[in-house]
Amino acid sequence: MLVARTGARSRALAVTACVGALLVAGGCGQIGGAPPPDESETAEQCASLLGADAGGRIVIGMHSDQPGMNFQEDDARRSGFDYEFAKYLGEYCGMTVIEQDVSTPQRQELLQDGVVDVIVASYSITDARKLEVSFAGPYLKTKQGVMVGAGSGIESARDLAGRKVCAGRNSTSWDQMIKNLPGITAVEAEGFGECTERLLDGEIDAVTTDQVLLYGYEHEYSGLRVLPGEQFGSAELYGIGLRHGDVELCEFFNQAIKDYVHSGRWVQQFKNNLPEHLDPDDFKPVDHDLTECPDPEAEQ
Amino acid sequence: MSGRGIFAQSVRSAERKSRFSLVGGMIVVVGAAICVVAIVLEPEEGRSFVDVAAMLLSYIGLILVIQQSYTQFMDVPEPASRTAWDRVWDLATKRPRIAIAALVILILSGTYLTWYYTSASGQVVTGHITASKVTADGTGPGARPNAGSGAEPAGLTDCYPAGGRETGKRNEECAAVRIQVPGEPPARGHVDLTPVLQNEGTTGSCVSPAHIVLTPVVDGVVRPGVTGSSGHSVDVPIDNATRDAYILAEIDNQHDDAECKVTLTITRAVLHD
Repeated sequence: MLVARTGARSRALAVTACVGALLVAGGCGQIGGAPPPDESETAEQCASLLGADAGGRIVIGMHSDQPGMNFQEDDARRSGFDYEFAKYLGEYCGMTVIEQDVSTPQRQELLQDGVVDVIVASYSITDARKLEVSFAGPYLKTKQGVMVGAGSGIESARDLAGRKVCAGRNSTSWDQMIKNLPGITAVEAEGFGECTERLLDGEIDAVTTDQVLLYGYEHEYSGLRVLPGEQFGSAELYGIGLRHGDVELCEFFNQAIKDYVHSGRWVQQFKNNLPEHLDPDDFKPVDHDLTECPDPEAEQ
Repeated sequence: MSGRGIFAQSVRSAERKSRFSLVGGMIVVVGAAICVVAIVLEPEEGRSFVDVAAMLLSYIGLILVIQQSYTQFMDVPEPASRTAWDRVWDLATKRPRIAIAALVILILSGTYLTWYYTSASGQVVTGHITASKVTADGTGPGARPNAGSGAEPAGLTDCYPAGGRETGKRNEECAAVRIQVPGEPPARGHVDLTPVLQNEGTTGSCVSPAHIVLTPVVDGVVRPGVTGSSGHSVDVPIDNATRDAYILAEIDNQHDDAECKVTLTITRAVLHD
């Protein structure tokens, strides 16, 4: 079982709750309510693009096992940067967000089968995935990192040779681990959360995935440590997963991301949900990062 | 004319018809073969399908006209000594208006086709383009391709980190690709290139956010570059070349991802004015 760090976390939750309550009271954060008049056009456009009724529902696929990004322990309320961002998208569309749990290997399938409208689940944009899925974004940038047990004696990636290192199946982290950490014993798990549980249970020596996720875990649980300065691999660019070829929805959500970043809410939510020592600018996308929304049919 | 004379004449006529059928058949077969070859070579050599179809139809029309005219003439008894040109001349003198019209059409068509194929039309030169990776110290005006480099230069990385090409900062360690335009000098003043990038890895978003900076070097002089993206054609001016022209292609990855490595392929190249 995972052991939660309680003191600081409770205070952070209380502050977050107060800020959230103030936002709701101010009419800025209501989910599912009618959008303000100047936003009704945006909401209508979103509903039209999603093929839904204005003020209807948007089903967003999200993780629930990533502290700092999207986390739900037992029956508690969700929290995290991804979760807040998903809520923002619901507001932007003037729609009620229906939360749909997804695991890393499921994301593409649930999207293609129409179970979810969009995916907001630390979903990295890659050229290979773009053949099957369209992405708006990125809404967050990170790189690969390594997390170990606090008393493991592992100080750098070089110390990992011959050790058991875990990554999630069907994740970009798995590919990056194989490519960038030679000499390790690679261990596969259903998801990053399972890897972390095995690390805490002492079954493996290290976990590798996106740094922002690692910092979320380190912040949440005692006995875990992210190796400082160990960054490697391609940039992980988190995007909003959309059904393949949905160009207009992609452009619509790119604008939503720009508005989110420019309004200052991006930085606010980053600070609310992730460790204080992280510099938001290291993870924040700039306008020119936003990927184009190519029409697959026109590309052929 | 006696019955024996008429019989002999009809035998000669039948022989001529038979000979014509054989020659005509061979012409049709050879013409059709040329058209098929032209269609197969179309992507490489620049004849569009419409060009080839028009050529095929014209060819068949020409054969039918010749055959029709020839058949009409053979039905008329002629002295054996008369040549084909004599018969064409006779036809022309009997139908002068048609002959003059045909001559004018022939001259105009010939002039137009000559102009079209030598000056006006685009020349697809995809199969004649060579693309070679140039090392960092060889990059620049007059750079030579690396010995042994392939037709699809690989391992290309971001040349313009920290904000892209607009900042003017170039990674001097970055390798470029030299795309040699065929012809010395090239036959047209512009080349339309369709560059395609392929991510060499399974991770990273390296293709669609990347810009491809294409800088023409004409007679050794570097000209202002143009920017394109993977899968989309880009028009690069190479006008007034007197010796040769090549284009340096560099990658400008919008995400500044140093881990991105891509392969560049030129899938279509068309010279045009």
